[in-house]
Amino acid sequence: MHYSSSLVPNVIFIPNSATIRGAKSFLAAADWSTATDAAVVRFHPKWCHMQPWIIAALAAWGVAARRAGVAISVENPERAAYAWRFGLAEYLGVDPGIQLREHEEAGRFVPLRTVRTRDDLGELMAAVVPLLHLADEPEQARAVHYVLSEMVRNVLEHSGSKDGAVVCAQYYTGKRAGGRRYVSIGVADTGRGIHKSLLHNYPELADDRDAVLHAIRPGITGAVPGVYGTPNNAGAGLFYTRRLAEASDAYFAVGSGGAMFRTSTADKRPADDKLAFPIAPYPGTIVNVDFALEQDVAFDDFLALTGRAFTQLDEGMREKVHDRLRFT
Amino acid sequence: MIVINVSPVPGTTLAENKDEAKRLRQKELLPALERREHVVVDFEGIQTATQSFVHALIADAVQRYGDEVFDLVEFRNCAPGVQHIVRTVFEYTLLAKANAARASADRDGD
Repeated sequence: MHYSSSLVPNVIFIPNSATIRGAKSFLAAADWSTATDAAVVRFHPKWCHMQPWIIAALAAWGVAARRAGVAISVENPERAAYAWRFGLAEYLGVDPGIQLREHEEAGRFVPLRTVRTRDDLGELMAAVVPLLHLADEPEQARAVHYVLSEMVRNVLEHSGSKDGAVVCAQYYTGKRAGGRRYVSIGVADTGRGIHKSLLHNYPELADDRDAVLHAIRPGITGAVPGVYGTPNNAGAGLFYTRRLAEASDAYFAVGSGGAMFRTSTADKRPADDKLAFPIAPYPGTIVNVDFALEQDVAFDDFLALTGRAFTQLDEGMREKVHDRLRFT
Repeated sequence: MIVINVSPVPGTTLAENKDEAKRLRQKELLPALERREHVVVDFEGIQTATQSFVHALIADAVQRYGDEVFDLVEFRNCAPGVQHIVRTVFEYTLLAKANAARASADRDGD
């Protein structure tokens, strides 16, 4: 439901567990419309656990909403210290009224950052390893770099967002992480959304659900389609990123407009079309990528296996390429 | 012979700047191949190259010149992860080229 009266503000309720696992229920009720005078971000009155994707989504929306003239206020800000530490207050244009240390030495997170240009992306790449304390784990740092690059470049190349990509990340360990160490990355934008981005080349896509399901297929790109993509795009970025999450039974999700696709961590994984669900319309795109830092295969092997899954080439042709390529 | 040096993002071992890949392709790789000149693509200092980067750098060359690229282009100092990505880009581009040729032949036969 959308409100246009200044008497009744939009409400975005952030529950006590704003995780990608629980996204289906609370995203269905969030009112992200910017065609209103006022909006309230209402944090759960007792406590709020938020993952990076929802913080990035709130931040990107906040910038767009403020530009549209929406007055944003927050309720129960004392329950959202984690999000304020990420820098969310600046994006929402609010004063949470609580004292924080912006980035604790022991903290392993990448605060909210806006990436508009390739130089911004380069700066993010250089900053992310020390912020996540991954300097002694080069293999893990490579995976983080890979995902960030592919996801942020999607925004810069296809979203048309005036504000670029909003990014943040968290390193989890211990009880919260189920005994594992993993990284969670959130990327959001308020651009044209996946449906509009793909519609020019795929006019058969009926709605946001069709579009997010289409976008995760290998070889789909928002640029002009061709037999191998285009000179600049092959449409493999989401494919690689999804596989990295799935390789550690973690979540990959992409939501755009009124639909979200979220991978399953069940032993028997449902077909993709069973993994898309409706959400209240988000004015852009949200991506969540979680992956464990201890994978069953080394990152180089992951790249090889994922490449094979992408190309689905027969062994004869693969051997021909293998034999003839000259690596010196 | 020309050498194309691929640079990592400063402070990292990652090659991901597609704008730079596009520039190298348009200004250096394709003109050299047009002259049938030998090209060395040097990935020294790089541990990871994104598929998007490698695609933007070489896929168009493979699409245009097909098997000739095996003879004309040499990849130097490729870490294992970079080799996997280069192979993948060659594989799907050659497959697509073969499929397109087959489809064209089928159309001509109709």
